[in-house]
Amino acid sequence: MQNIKWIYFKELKVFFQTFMAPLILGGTAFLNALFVLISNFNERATHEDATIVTFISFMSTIIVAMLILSMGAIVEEKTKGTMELLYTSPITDLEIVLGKFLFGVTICLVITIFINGLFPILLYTYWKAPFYLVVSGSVGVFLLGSFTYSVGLFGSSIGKNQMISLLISVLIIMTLWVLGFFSHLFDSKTRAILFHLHIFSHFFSFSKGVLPFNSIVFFLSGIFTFIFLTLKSLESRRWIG
Amino acid sequence: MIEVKNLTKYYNQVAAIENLNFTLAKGEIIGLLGLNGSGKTTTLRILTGFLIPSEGEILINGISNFSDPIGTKRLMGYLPESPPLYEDMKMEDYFLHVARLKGIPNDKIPSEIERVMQKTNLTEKRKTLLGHVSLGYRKRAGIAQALLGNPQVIVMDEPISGLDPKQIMDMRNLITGLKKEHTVFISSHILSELHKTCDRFLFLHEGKLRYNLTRDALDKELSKYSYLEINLEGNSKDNIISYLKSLDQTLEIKNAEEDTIGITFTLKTNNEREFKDKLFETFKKNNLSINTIKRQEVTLEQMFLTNL
Repeated sequence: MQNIKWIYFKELKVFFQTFMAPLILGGTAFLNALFVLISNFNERATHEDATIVTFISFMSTIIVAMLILSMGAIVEEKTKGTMELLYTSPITDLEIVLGKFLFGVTICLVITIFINGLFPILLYTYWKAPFYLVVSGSVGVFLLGSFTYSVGLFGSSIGKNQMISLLISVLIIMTLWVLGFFSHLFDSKTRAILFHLHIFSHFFSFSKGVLPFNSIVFFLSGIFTFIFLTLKSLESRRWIG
Repeated sequence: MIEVKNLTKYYNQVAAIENLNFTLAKGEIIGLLGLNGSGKTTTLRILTGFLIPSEGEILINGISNFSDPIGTKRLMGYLPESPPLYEDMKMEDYFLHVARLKGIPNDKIPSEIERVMQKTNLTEKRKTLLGHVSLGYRKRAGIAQALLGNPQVIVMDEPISGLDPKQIMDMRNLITGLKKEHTVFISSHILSELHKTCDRFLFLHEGKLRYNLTRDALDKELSKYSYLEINLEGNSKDNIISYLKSLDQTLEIKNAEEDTIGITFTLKTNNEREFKDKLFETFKKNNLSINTIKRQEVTLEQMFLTNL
Protein backbone atom coordinates (compact mmCIF):
# COMPACT_ATOMS: atom_id res chain seq x y z
CA MET A 1 0.00 0.00 0.00
CA GLN A 2 2.85 2.38 0.90
CA ASN A 3 4.53 1.73 -2.45
CA ILE A 4 1.34 2.65 -4.36
CA LYS A 5 1.48 5.96 -2.53
CA TRP A 6 5.14 6.58 -3.44
CA ILE A 7 4.57 5.79 -7.12
CA TYR A 8 1.49 8.04 -7.06
CA PHE A 9 3.36 10.94 -5.39
CA LYS A 10 6.23 10.68 -7.84
CA GLU A 11 3.85 10.78 -10.82
CA LEU A 12 2.04 13.80 -9.40
CA LYS A 13 5.28 15.61 -8.67
CA VAL A 14 6.70 15.06 -12.15
CA PHE A 15 3.36 16.04 -13.72
CA PHE A 16 3.13 19.38 -11.93
CA GLN A 17 6.86 20.14 -12.30
CA THR A 18 6.97 19.65 -16.05
CA PHE A 19 5.18 20.91 -19.14
CA MET A 20 2.63 18.10 -18.80
CA ALA A 21 0.41 20.00 -16.34
CA PRO A 22 -0.09 23.12 -18.51
CA LEU A 23 -0.36 20.96 -21.62
CA ILE A 24 -3.05 18.64 -20.28
CA LEU A 25 -4.96 21.01 -18.01
CA GLY A 26 -4.58 24.12 -20.16
CA GLY A 27 -5.20 22.20 -23.38
CA THR A 28 -8.39 20.68 -22.00
CA ALA A 29 -9.63 24.07 -20.79
CA PHE A 30 -8.88 25.63 -24.17
CA LEU A 31 -10.64 22.90 -26.18
CA ASN A 32 -13.61 22.98 -23.82
CA ALA A 33 -13.88 26.71 -24.24
CA LEU A 34 -13.70 26.35 -27.98
CA PHE A 35 -16.34 23.61 -28.26
CA VAL A 36 -18.73 24.56 -25.48
CA LEU A 37 -18.87 28.32 -25.63
CA ILE A 38 -18.94 28.66 -29.41
CA SER A 39 -21.60 25.94 -29.77
CA ASN A 40 -23.78 27.10 -26.89
CA PHE A 41 -23.82 30.86 -26.89
CA ASN A 42 -26.72 31.49 -29.18
CA GLU A 43 -30.21 32.65 -28.41
CA ARG A 44 -31.98 29.46 -29.48
CA ALA A 45 -30.10 27.07 -27.15
CA THR A 46 -32.25 25.57 -24.42
CA HIS A 47 -30.76 24.08 -21.30
CA GLU A 48 -31.27 20.56 -22.73
CA ASP A 49 -29.37 21.41 -25.92
CA ALA A 50 -26.66 23.23 -23.99
CA THR A 51 -26.19 20.35 -21.54
CA ILE A 52 -25.88 17.73 -24.25
CA VAL A 53 -23.49 19.85 -26.33
CA THR A 54 -21.41 20.59 -23.24
CA PHE A 55 -21.04 16.99 -22.13
CA ILE A 56 -20.43 15.66 -25.63
CA SER A 57 -17.63 18.20 -25.87
CA PHE A 58 -16.31 17.02 -22.51
CA MET A 59 -16.45 13.45 -23.76
CA SER A 60 -14.07 14.31 -26.60
CA THR A 61 -11.71 16.42 -24.52
CA ILE A 62 -11.45 13.99 -21.60
CA ILE A 63 -10.66 11.13 -24.01
CA VAL A 64 -7.94 13.16 -25.73
CA ALA A 65 -6.50 14.38 -22.40
CA MET A 66 -6.42 10.93 -20.82
CA LEU A 67 -4.93 9.29 -23.90
CA ILE A 68 -2.14 11.86 -24.03
CA LEU A 69 -1.56 11.57 -20.29
CA SER A 70 -1.37 7.78 -20.33
CA MET A 71 0.54 7.16 -23.54
CA GLY A 72 3.96 7.44 -21.86
CA ALA A 73 2.98 6.10 -18.44
CA ILE A 74 4.73 2.75 -18.80
CA VAL A 75 6.48 2.84 -22.17
CA GLU A 76 8.56 5.85 -21.04
CA GLU A 77 9.78 3.86 -18.05
CA LYS A 78 10.89 1.17 -20.48
CA THR A 79 12.60 3.46 -22.99
CA LYS A 80 14.36 5.53 -20.32
CA GLY A 81 15.49 2.44 -18.41
CA THR A 82 13.66 3.33 -15.19
CA MET A 83 11.58 0.18 -15.52
CA GLU A 84 14.72 -1.63 -14.37
CA LEU A 85 14.59 0.42 -11.18
CA LEU A 86 10.94 -0.45 -10.59
CA TYR A 87 11.33 -4.12 -11.50
CA THR A 88 14.37 -4.55 -9.23
CA SER A 89 12.95 -2.59 -6.28
CA PRO A 90 11.06 -4.45 -3.56
CA ILE A 91 7.63 -3.57 -4.98
CA THR A 92 5.06 -5.60 -6.88
CA ASP A 93 3.81 -5.06 -10.42
CA LEU A 94 0.32 -4.45 -9.03
CA GLU A 95 1.63 -1.59 -6.89
CA ILE A 96 3.29 -0.04 -9.95
CA VAL A 97 0.08 -0.24 -12.00
CA LEU A 98 -2.21 0.96 -9.21
CA GLY A 99 0.07 3.88 -8.33
CA LYS A 100 0.03 5.02 -11.92
CA PHE A 101 -3.70 4.43 -12.31
CA LEU A 102 -4.55 6.44 -9.19
CA PHE A 103 -2.48 9.29 -10.58
CA GLY A 104 -4.55 9.19 -13.80
CA VAL A 105 -7.78 9.11 -11.80
CA THR A 106 -6.62 12.12 -9.77
CA ILE A 107 -5.88 14.16 -12.88
CA CYS A 108 -9.23 13.08 -14.31
CA LEU A 109 -10.88 14.32 -11.11
CA VAL A 110 -8.95 17.60 -11.30
CA ILE A 111 -10.14 18.08 -14.88
CA THR A 112 -13.74 17.15 -14.01
CA ILE A 113 -13.94 19.49 -11.04
CA PHE A 114 -11.58 22.38 -11.74
CA ILE A 115 -11.35 22.51 -15.54
CA ASN A 116 -14.73 21.24 -16.72
CA GLY A 117 -16.38 22.50 -13.54
CA LEU A 118 -16.57 26.02 -14.86
CA PHE A 119 -18.92 25.00 -17.65
CA PRO A 120 -21.51 23.09 -15.58
CA ILE A 121 -21.63 26.19 -13.37
CA LEU A 122 -22.51 28.17 -16.47
CA LEU A 123 -25.09 25.55 -17.40
CA TYR A 124 -26.59 25.82 -13.95
CA THR A 125 -26.58 29.61 -13.70
CA TYR A 126 -26.93 30.86 -17.30
CA TRP A 127 -29.10 28.19 -18.93
CA LYS A 128 -30.85 27.23 -15.66
CA ALA A 129 -30.14 23.55 -16.21
CA PRO A 130 -31.29 21.36 -13.30
CA PHE A 131 -28.50 20.61 -10.82
CA TYR A 132 -28.89 16.80 -11.09
CA LEU A 133 -28.13 17.08 -14.82
CA VAL A 134 -24.90 18.90 -14.10
CA VAL A 135 -23.83 16.33 -11.47
CA SER A 136 -24.70 13.22 -13.49
CA GLY A 137 -22.90 14.59 -16.55
CA SER A 138 -19.78 15.25 -14.47
CA VAL A 139 -19.90 11.72 -13.00
CA GLY A 140 -20.06 10.40 -16.58
CA VAL A 141 -17.04 12.48 -17.61
CA PHE A 142 -15.07 11.21 -14.62
CA LEU A 143 -15.92 7.55 -15.27
CA LEU A 144 -15.18 7.85 -18.97
CA GLY A 145 -11.87 9.60 -18.22
CA SER A 146 -10.80 6.93 -15.73
CA PHE A 147 -11.79 4.20 -18.18
CA THR A 148 -9.83 5.88 -20.98
CA TYR A 149 -6.78 6.18 -18.72
CA SER A 150 -6.90 2.45 -17.95
CA VAL A 151 -7.05 1.71 -21.69
CA GLY A 152 -4.11 4.09 -22.21
CA LEU A 153 -2.16 2.37 -19.45
CA PHE A 154 -2.65 -0.95 -21.20
CA GLY A 155 -1.63 0.54 -24.56
CA SER A 156 1.46 1.98 -22.89
CA SER A 157 2.38 -1.39 -21.40
CA ILE A 158 2.44 -3.17 -24.76
CA GLY A 159 3.66 -0.40 -27.09
CA LYS A 160 7.29 0.00 -28.13
CA ASN A 161 7.15 3.77 -27.96
CA GLN A 162 4.70 6.53 -27.06
CA MET A 163 3.28 6.86 -30.56
CA ILE A 164 2.54 3.15 -30.92
CA SER A 165 1.06 3.11 -27.42
CA LEU A 166 -1.21 6.00 -28.35
CA LEU A 167 -2.29 4.27 -31.55
CA ILE A 168 -3.13 1.07 -29.67
CA SER A 169 -5.22 3.00 -27.14
CA VAL A 170 -6.96 5.06 -29.84
CA LEU A 171 -7.73 1.86 -31.71
CA ILE A 172 -9.35 0.30 -28.63
CA ILE A 173 -11.40 3.44 -27.83
CA MET A 174 -12.43 3.91 -31.47
CA THR A 175 -13.45 0.25 -31.71
CA LEU A 176 -15.63 0.57 -28.61
CA TRP A 177 -17.06 3.82 -29.99
CA VAL A 178 -17.79 2.58 -33.49
CA LEU A 179 -19.10 -0.89 -32.53
CA GLY A 180 -22.46 0.47 -31.46
CA PHE A 181 -23.01 2.33 -34.73
CA PHE A 182 -22.83 -0.91 -36.70
CA SER A 183 -24.77 -3.02 -34.22
CA HIS A 184 -27.94 -2.78 -36.33
CA LEU A 185 -26.23 -4.90 -39.00
CA PHE A 186 -26.18 -7.95 -36.71
CA ASP A 187 -28.77 -10.29 -35.19
CA SER A 188 -30.45 -9.31 -31.95
CA LYS A 189 -28.09 -11.15 -29.56
CA THR A 190 -24.93 -9.81 -31.21
CA ARG A 191 -26.57 -6.40 -31.47
CA ALA A 192 -27.23 -6.38 -27.72
CA ILE A 193 -23.60 -7.28 -26.95
CA LEU A 194 -22.18 -4.75 -29.40
CA PHE A 195 -24.48 -2.06 -28.12
CA HIS A 196 -23.46 -2.81 -24.55
CA LEU A 197 -19.83 -2.21 -25.54
CA HIS A 198 -20.71 1.14 -27.11
CA ILE A 199 -19.08 3.75 -24.84
CA PHE A 200 -20.92 6.63 -26.50
CA SER A 201 -24.35 5.29 -25.53
CA HIS A 202 -23.17 4.62 -21.95
CA PHE A 203 -21.87 8.16 -21.62
CA PHE A 204 -24.93 9.67 -23.28
CA SER A 205 -27.18 8.48 -20.45
CA PHE A 206 -25.14 10.44 -17.93
CA SER A 207 -25.46 13.66 -19.93
CA LYS A 208 -29.24 13.25 -19.89
CA GLY A 209 -29.35 13.37 -16.11
CA VAL A 210 -29.44 9.63 -15.40
CA LEU A 211 -26.99 7.55 -13.38
CA PRO A 212 -27.57 4.21 -15.14
CA PHE A 213 -26.42 1.23 -13.12
CA ASN A 214 -25.38 -0.84 -16.13
CA SER A 215 -23.26 2.02 -17.48
CA ILE A 216 -21.51 2.45 -14.14
CA VAL A 217 -20.85 -1.31 -14.12
CA PHE A 218 -19.62 -1.09 -17.73
CA PHE A 219 -17.05 1.59 -16.95
CA LEU A 220 -15.90 0.00 -13.68
CA SER A 221 -15.60 -3.48 -15.17
CA GLY A 222 -13.75 -1.97 -18.15
CA ILE A 223 -11.30 -0.30 -15.76
CA PHE A 224 -10.69 -3.57 -13.91
CA THR A 225 -10.24 -5.47 -17.19
CA PHE A 226 -7.63 -3.08 -18.58
CA ILE A 227 -5.77 -2.84 -15.27
CA PHE A 228 -5.66 -6.63 -15.18
CA LEU A 229 -4.39 -6.75 -18.78
CA THR A 230 -1.74 -4.13 -17.97
CA LEU A 231 -0.62 -6.20 -15.01
CA LYS A 232 -0.38 -9.35 -17.14
CA SER A 233 1.54 -7.43 -19.77
CA LEU A 234 4.10 -6.29 -17.17
CA GLU A 235 4.40 -9.79 -15.73
CA SER A 236 4.95 -11.29 -19.18
CA ARG A 237 7.92 -8.93 -19.74
CA ARG A 238 9.79 -10.66 -16.96
CA TRP A 239 9.39 -13.98 -18.74
CA ILE A 240 9.93 -12.79 -22.31
CA GLY A 241 12.73 -10.32 -21.52
CA MET B 1 25.92 -15.74 0.21
CA ILE B 2 24.61 -16.10 -3.38
CA GLU B 3 24.34 -19.45 -5.08
CA VAL B 4 23.49 -19.68 -8.76
CA LYS B 5 22.31 -23.12 -9.85
CA ASN B 6 21.84 -24.32 -13.43
CA LEU B 7 20.74 -20.90 -14.58
CA THR B 8 19.37 -20.90 -18.13
CA LYS B 9 17.47 -18.26 -20.06
CA TYR B 10 15.97 -18.62 -23.52
CA TYR B 11 14.87 -15.73 -25.73
CA ASN B 12 12.61 -17.17 -28.43
CA GLN B 13 14.15 -20.63 -27.96
CA VAL B 14 17.67 -19.23 -28.30
CA ALA B 15 19.70 -19.72 -25.14
CA ALA B 16 21.17 -16.43 -23.89
CA ILE B 17 22.79 -18.21 -20.95
CA GLU B 18 23.07 -21.93 -20.34
CA ASN B 19 23.58 -23.90 -17.14
CA LEU B 20 25.45 -21.28 -15.16
CA ASN B 21 26.68 -22.42 -11.77
CA PHE B 22 28.68 -20.21 -9.42
CA THR B 23 28.66 -18.75 -5.93
CA LEU B 24 29.41 -15.27 -4.61
CA ALA B 25 30.92 -15.02 -1.13
CA LYS B 26 30.32 -12.17 1.30
CA GLY B 27 32.65 -9.17 0.85
CA GLU B 28 34.03 -10.29 -2.51
CA ILE B 29 34.25 -8.16 -5.65
CA ILE B 30 33.48 -10.46 -8.54
CA GLY B 31 33.88 -9.53 -12.17
CA LEU B 32 31.65 -10.98 -14.84
CA LEU B 33 33.59 -10.79 -18.08
CA GLY B 34 32.67 -11.49 -21.63
CA LEU B 35 32.23 -10.08 -25.09
CA ASN B 36 29.08 -8.20 -26.08
CA GLY B 37 26.18 -10.64 -26.32
CA SER B 38 27.82 -13.23 -24.10
CA GLY B 39 24.94 -13.15 -21.60
CA LYS B 40 26.31 -10.84 -18.90
CA THR B 41 23.33 -8.48 -18.72
CA THR B 42 20.87 -11.39 -18.80
CA THR B 43 22.69 -13.00 -15.85
CA LEU B 44 22.61 -9.77 -13.84
CA ARG B 45 18.97 -9.13 -14.71
CA ILE B 46 17.97 -12.55 -13.46
CA LEU B 47 20.06 -12.10 -10.33
CA THR B 48 18.31 -8.81 -9.53
CA GLY B 49 14.81 -10.12 -10.27
CA PHE B 50 14.26 -8.11 -13.44
CA LEU B 51 13.92 -11.31 -15.46
CA ILE B 52 12.65 -14.75 -14.59
CA PRO B 53 14.95 -17.61 -15.67
CA SER B 54 13.74 -20.37 -18.00
CA GLU B 55 15.48 -22.93 -15.79
CA GLY B 56 17.52 -22.98 -12.61
CA GLU B 57 17.42 -20.83 -9.51
CA ILE B 58 19.30 -18.25 -7.48
CA LEU B 59 19.56 -18.59 -3.72
CA ILE B 60 20.38 -15.49 -1.72
CA ASN B 61 21.22 -16.35 1.89
CA GLY B 62 19.47 -19.65 1.20
CA ILE B 63 16.26 -18.00 -0.05
CA SER B 64 15.20 -18.39 -3.67
CA ASN B 65 14.69 -15.04 -5.44
CA PHE B 66 11.80 -16.62 -7.30
CA SER B 67 9.85 -17.72 -4.20
CA ASP B 68 10.54 -14.51 -2.22
CA PRO B 69 11.24 -11.80 -4.81
CA ILE B 70 10.46 -8.87 -2.52
CA GLY B 71 12.61 -10.16 0.36
CA THR B 72 15.61 -10.90 -1.84
CA LYS B 73 15.34 -7.57 -3.69
CA ARG B 74 15.74 -5.80 -0.35
CA LEU B 75 19.22 -7.35 -0.11
CA MET B 76 20.31 -5.95 -3.45
CA GLY B 77 21.20 -2.67 -5.12
CA TYR B 78 21.39 -2.61 -8.90
CA LEU B 79 23.03 -0.23 -11.33
CA PRO B 80 21.95 -1.12 -14.88
CA GLU B 81 24.17 -0.21 -17.84
CA SER B 82 22.07 2.87 -18.46
CA PRO B 83 21.46 4.43 -15.02
CA PRO B 84 17.71 4.34 -14.24
CA LEU B 85 17.17 8.06 -13.68
CA TYR B 86 14.06 10.22 -13.95
CA GLU B 87 15.47 13.15 -15.90
CA ASP B 88 12.69 15.51 -14.81
CA MET B 89 13.55 15.06 -11.14
CA LYS B 90 16.15 16.80 -9.02
CA MET B 91 18.91 14.57 -7.71
CA GLU B 92 17.73 14.58 -4.07
CA ASP B 93 14.06 14.14 -5.02
CA TYR B 94 15.08 11.11 -7.05
CA PHE B 95 16.96 9.60 -4.12
CA LEU B 96 13.97 10.29 -1.88
CA HIS B 97 11.73 8.39 -4.32
CA VAL B 98 14.12 5.42 -4.56
CA ALA B 99 14.61 5.33 -0.78
CA ARG B 100 10.85 5.18 -0.30
CA LEU B 101 10.51 2.38 -2.87
CA LYS B 102 13.22 0.44 -1.07
CA GLY B 103 11.19 0.64 2.11
CA ILE B 104 13.69 2.69 4.13
CA PRO B 105 11.88 4.12 7.21
CA ASN B 106 10.93 7.78 6.74
CA ASP B 107 13.01 9.06 9.68
CA LYS B 108 16.16 7.43 8.30
CA ILE B 109 15.78 8.62 4.71
CA PRO B 110 17.48 12.08 5.01
CA SER B 111 20.62 10.65 6.68
CA GLU B 112 20.71 7.76 4.23
CA ILE B 113 20.50 10.12 1.25
CA GLU B 114 23.26 12.25 2.77
CA ARG B 115 25.44 9.17 3.28
CA VAL B 116 25.19 7.92 -0.32
CA MET B 117 25.61 11.41 -1.76
CA GLN B 118 28.79 11.90 0.22
CA LYS B 119 30.09 8.48 -0.71
CA THR B 120 29.58 9.21 -4.41
CA ASN B 121 30.58 12.91 -4.24
CA LEU B 122 27.21 14.17 -5.37
CA THR B 123 26.38 16.64 -2.60
CA GLU B 124 27.04 19.68 -4.78
CA LYS B 125 24.56 18.41 -7.39
CA ARG B 126 21.68 17.72 -5.01
CA LYS B 127 19.45 20.44 -6.50
CA THR B 128 20.37 19.73 -10.12
CA LEU B 129 17.92 18.12 -12.52
CA LEU B 130 19.11 14.65 -13.47
CA GLY B 131 18.59 15.45 -17.14
CA HIS B 132 21.21 18.22 -16.85
CA VAL B 133 24.18 16.23 -15.49
CA SER B 134 27.04 14.56 -17.38
CA LEU B 135 27.43 10.82 -17.89
CA GLY B 136 29.95 10.57 -15.03
CA TYR B 137 27.45 12.10 -12.61
CA ARG B 138 24.66 9.95 -14.03
CA LYS B 139 26.69 6.82 -13.34
CA ARG B 140 27.46 8.06 -9.84
CA ALA B 141 23.79 8.83 -9.23
CA GLY B 142 23.05 5.29 -10.44
CA ILE B 143 25.52 3.86 -7.93
CA ALA B 144 24.16 6.11 -5.18
CA GLN B 145 20.62 4.80 -5.72
CA ALA B 146 21.97 1.24 -5.65
CA LEU B 147 23.68 1.98 -2.31
CA LEU B 148 20.53 3.37 -0.68
CA GLY B 149 19.45 1.16 2.19
CA ASN B 150 22.98 -0.28 2.47
CA PRO B 151 22.14 -3.55 0.67
CA GLN B 152 24.39 -6.57 1.17
CA VAL B 153 24.91 -7.07 -2.55
CA ILE B 154 25.65 -4.41 -5.17
CA VAL B 155 25.23 -5.45 -8.79
CA MET B 156 26.62 -3.20 -11.54
CA ASP B 157 26.28 -3.66 -15.26
CA GLU B 158 29.14 -2.03 -17.20
CA PRO B 159 29.72 0.74 -14.62
CA ILE B 160 32.75 2.12 -16.45
CA SER B 161 31.54 2.12 -20.03
CA GLY B 162 31.50 5.57 -21.59
CA LEU B 163 33.53 7.24 -18.82
CA ASP B 164 36.68 9.32 -19.35
CA PRO B 165 40.01 8.23 -17.74
CA LYS B 166 39.55 10.39 -14.64
CA GLN B 167 36.00 9.20 -14.15
CA ILE B 168 37.20 5.60 -14.60
CA MET B 169 39.79 6.14 -11.85
CA ASP B 170 37.14 7.66 -9.54
CA MET B 171 34.78 4.81 -10.29
CA ARG B 172 37.50 2.24 -9.59
CA ASN B 173 38.22 3.83 -6.21
CA LEU B 174 34.51 3.94 -5.44
CA ILE B 175 34.03 0.27 -6.28
CA THR B 176 37.11 -0.78 -4.29
CA GLY B 177 35.75 1.23 -1.35
CA LEU B 178 32.54 -0.82 -1.42
CA LYS B 179 34.40 -4.05 -0.81
CA LYS B 180 34.51 -3.70 2.96
CA GLU B 181 30.76 -3.53 3.41
CA HIS B 182 29.21 -5.19 0.36
CA THR B 183 29.48 -8.09 -2.00
CA VAL B 184 29.99 -6.47 -5.40
CA PHE B 185 29.19 -8.16 -8.70
CA ILE B 186 30.32 -6.19 -11.75
CA SER B 187 30.02 -6.97 -15.42
CA SER B 188 32.19 -5.44 -18.08
CA HIS B 189 33.63 -6.09 -21.48
CA ILE B 190 36.63 -3.87 -20.63
CA LEU B 191 38.49 -6.81 -19.20
CA SER B 192 41.65 -4.98 -18.15
CA GLU B 193 39.62 -2.57 -16.01
CA LEU B 194 38.09 -5.33 -13.93
CA HIS B 195 41.52 -6.92 -13.49
CA LYS B 196 42.47 -3.97 -11.29
CA THR B 197 39.31 -4.09 -9.21
CA CYS B 198 38.06 -7.64 -8.68
CA ASP B 199 38.99 -10.54 -6.42
CA ARG B 200 37.47 -13.18 -8.65
CA PHE B 201 36.59 -13.43 -12.32
CA LEU B 202 33.86 -15.27 -14.17
CA PHE B 203 34.33 -15.51 -17.92
CA LEU B 204 31.20 -15.92 -20.00
CA HIS B 205 31.25 -16.81 -23.65
CA GLU B 206 28.17 -17.52 -25.76
CA GLY B 207 26.11 -17.92 -22.61
CA LYS B 208 28.40 -20.47 -21.00
CA LEU B 209 30.72 -20.04 -18.04
CA ARG B 210 34.21 -20.72 -19.40
CA TYR B 211 36.39 -19.82 -16.39
CA ASN B 212 35.89 -19.11 -12.72
CA LEU B 213 39.27 -17.84 -11.46
CA THR B 214 40.53 -16.09 -8.35
CA ARG B 215 42.87 -13.14 -8.88
CA ASP B 216 45.94 -15.31 -8.03
CA ALA B 217 44.84 -18.06 -10.40
CA LEU B 218 44.23 -15.49 -13.11
CA ASP B 219 47.64 -13.87 -12.58
CA LYS B 220 49.26 -17.31 -12.82
CA GLU B 221 47.33 -17.93 -16.01
CA LEU B 222 48.39 -14.55 -17.38
CA SER B 223 52.04 -15.17 -16.57
CA LYS B 224 51.94 -18.18 -18.90
CA TYR B 225 51.34 -15.76 -21.72
CA SER B 226 53.69 -12.95 -20.68
CA TYR B 227 57.09 -12.27 -22.30
CA LEU B 228 60.24 -10.39 -21.29
CA GLU B 229 61.51 -7.66 -23.55
CA ILE B 230 65.26 -6.97 -23.19
CA ASN B 231 67.37 -4.46 -25.07
CA LEU B 232 71.07 -5.43 -25.14
CA GLU B 233 74.27 -4.21 -26.79
CA GLY B 234 77.97 -5.06 -26.91
CA ASN B 235 78.16 -8.03 -29.24
CA SER B 236 76.64 -9.49 -32.41
CA LYS B 237 73.05 -10.64 -32.52
CA ASP B 238 74.02 -14.33 -32.97
CA ASN B 239 76.46 -14.27 -30.05
CA ILE B 240 73.89 -12.70 -27.75
CA ILE B 241 71.34 -15.30 -28.84
CA SER B 242 73.77 -18.07 -27.94
CA TYR B 243 74.41 -16.48 -24.53
CA LEU B 244 70.68 -16.26 -23.90
CA LYS B 245 70.10 -19.83 -25.03
CA SER B 246 72.82 -21.02 -22.67
CA LEU B 247 70.68 -19.88 -19.73
CA ASP B 248 68.59 -22.74 -18.32
CA GLN B 249 65.64 -20.42 -17.68
CA THR B 250 65.25 -19.38 -21.32
CA LEU B 251 62.35 -21.28 -22.82
CA GLU B 252 61.89 -19.53 -26.11
CA ILE B 253 63.31 -16.54 -27.99
CA LYS B 254 60.33 -15.16 -29.80
CA ASN B 255 61.86 -12.20 -31.57
CA ALA B 256 65.16 -10.38 -32.04
CA GLU B 257 65.21 -6.96 -33.62
CA GLU B 258 68.10 -4.55 -34.11
CA ASP B 259 67.42 -0.88 -33.51
CA THR B 260 69.46 2.30 -32.97
CA ILE B 261 70.18 1.59 -29.29
CA GLY B 262 70.87 -2.15 -29.43
CA ILE B 263 69.07 -5.38 -30.05
CA THR B 264 65.64 -6.00 -28.60
CA PHE B 265 64.84 -9.61 -27.70
CA THR B 266 61.40 -10.86 -26.80
CA LEU B 267 61.66 -14.08 -24.85
CA LYS B 268 59.83 -16.40 -22.55
CA THR B 269 61.29 -17.82 -19.36
CA ASN B 270 60.25 -20.50 -16.92
CA ASN B 271 61.46 -18.50 -13.91
CA GLU B 272 61.69 -14.78 -14.32
CA ARG B 273 63.64 -13.92 -11.16
CA GLU B 274 66.34 -16.60 -11.66
CA PHE B 275 66.57 -15.66 -15.31
CA LYS B 276 67.28 -12.03 -14.46
CA ASP B 277 69.98 -12.96 -11.90
CA LYS B 278 71.74 -15.25 -14.38
CA LEU B 279 71.37 -12.71 -17.14
CA PHE B 280 73.14 -9.98 -15.17
CA GLU B 281 75.91 -12.44 -14.17
CA THR B 282 76.53 -13.74 -17.70
CA PHE B 283 76.43 -10.35 -19.32
CA LYS B 284 78.80 -8.79 -16.79
CA LYS B 285 81.32 -11.54 -17.52
CA ASN B 286 81.05 -10.96 -21.27
CA ASN B 287 81.13 -7.15 -21.10
CA LEU B 288 77.64 -6.75 -22.50
CA SER B 289 75.29 -4.06 -21.34
CA ILE B 290 71.57 -4.17 -20.72
CA ASN B 291 69.73 -1.03 -21.78
CA THR B 292 66.20 -1.97 -20.78
CA ILE B 293 64.40 -4.96 -19.38
CA LYS B 294 60.66 -5.07 -19.00
CA ARG B 295 57.83 -7.52 -18.84
CA GLN B 296 55.50 -7.46 -21.81
CA GLU B 297 52.17 -8.07 -20.11
CA VAL B 298 49.44 -9.99 -21.82
CA THR B 299 46.13 -8.27 -21.29
CA LEU B 300 43.03 -10.09 -20.18
CA GLU B 301 41.62 -9.41 -23.62
CA GLN B 302 44.51 -11.21 -25.32
CA MET B 303 44.29 -14.14 -22.94
CA PHE B 304 40.54 -14.34 -23.27
CA LEU B 305 40.52 -14.16 -27.05
CA THR B 306 43.38 -16.69 -27.32
CA ASN B 307 41.42 -19.18 -25.25
CA LEU B 308 38.03 -18.85 -26.88
